[in-house]
Amino acid sequence: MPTRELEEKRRSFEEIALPLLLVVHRTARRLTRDTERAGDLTQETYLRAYRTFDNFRPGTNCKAWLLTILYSIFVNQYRKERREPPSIAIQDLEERFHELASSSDNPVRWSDREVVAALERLPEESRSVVLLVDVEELTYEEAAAALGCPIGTVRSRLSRARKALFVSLQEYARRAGYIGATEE
Amino acid sequence: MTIESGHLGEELQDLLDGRLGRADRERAERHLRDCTECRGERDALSRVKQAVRASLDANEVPARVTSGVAAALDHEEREALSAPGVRPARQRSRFLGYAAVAAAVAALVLLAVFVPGRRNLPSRVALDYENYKTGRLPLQISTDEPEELDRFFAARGVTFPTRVFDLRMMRYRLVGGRVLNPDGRKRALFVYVGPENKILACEMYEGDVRRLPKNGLQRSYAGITFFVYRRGGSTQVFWQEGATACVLVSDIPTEEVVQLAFAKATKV
Repeated sequence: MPTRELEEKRRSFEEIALPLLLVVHRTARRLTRDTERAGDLTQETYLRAYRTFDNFRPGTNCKAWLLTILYSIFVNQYRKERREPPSIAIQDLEERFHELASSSDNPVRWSDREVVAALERLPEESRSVVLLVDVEELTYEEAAAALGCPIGTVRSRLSRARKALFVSLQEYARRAGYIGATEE
Repeated sequence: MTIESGHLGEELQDLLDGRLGRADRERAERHLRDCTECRGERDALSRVKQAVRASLDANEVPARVTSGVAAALDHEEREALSAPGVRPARQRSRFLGYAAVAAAVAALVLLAVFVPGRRNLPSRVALDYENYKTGRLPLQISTDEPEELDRFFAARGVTFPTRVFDLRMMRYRLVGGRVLNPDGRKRALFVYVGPENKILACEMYEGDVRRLPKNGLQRSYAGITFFVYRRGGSTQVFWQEGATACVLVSDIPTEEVVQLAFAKATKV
């Protein structure tokens, strides 16, 4: 490739892909749950994206393209390195969700810190779908392509993840006394 | 609607994510008006979706990651440039290309090490920075208010727009500034202090960055060209803002200065 084309590639990449550094890094941070590894994963994602930038079709969703690369590296290099710590295991999730969602508790604002903690306690396959769809606003189709699974799986994982988060956050709020104090 | 329960069930999620067709959406919305149980579940799921999004919105990328990504891309680009298939812009043998690069690097090193007094602009900016750090170039005003500093420059006869920026989002606090007027052409200098008391200085002057020495490294971001130099142990990053030339200078890692320049230049 002539030098001029390389320069053009770099300029184009910096204009299209680099503004999404925050997106890539925050997803890496929540997937790996580790600052150091998130930095490495972000760097590797950008490096691979740059190498394969010719495959990116201008006008398509660059965020989805980058997150697909990120998840592929994460699955192949990072996930197997580390055992998942105990994650939220909610017995009778559906029942518990219905119970809490229909209770007359006044809604309290969950702290960002507790939301992030609850998110990080989700099993990785649930966490990743929440990150892609709810945080980064990918469509189910884009998330399915990034995660390498059918759309129906995205839908069912997302459903379970949101319910688990709600139960976890509401139960925390009750334990902390933010809600339900009038019953005592 | 799920037949067994008479409630919306998983359709709530499709409604929330905008995945229902018009007829199904209207039917689901009609059901929600009359069903407190489904409304409670819809509100719960909606709260989760919003809370997760909001909790991660404000995250920042550590400078270490930003500079790591830039360095990895730089390295990749250098590798690509030195690959066998790469044709330099002007056709010449690779050996001569390397020889020319090696000679240029050697000349730069010689210039930086043995001729510190040479007064091209990057060297002069590096000297100003060094003089400020060693107390030989004191500030004329101490303030952390950008507007106050802009007014100060205007009052001291600086005719070009200075646009002093607040860089606290980047963890750099404005401490003050002064006017430099060594050769009749005024330059505005202002100084920031960042993490670990690292000093970052900015100079602005009326001029054209295209007239800078040709041995700077060029970087491009958001359509702006930046010229990067290393002089006297610090990094100088120049860019153009209208008729005004801007330069950031610091002895923090080169890539961090570049990233701060990107941030400052694109801040509206």
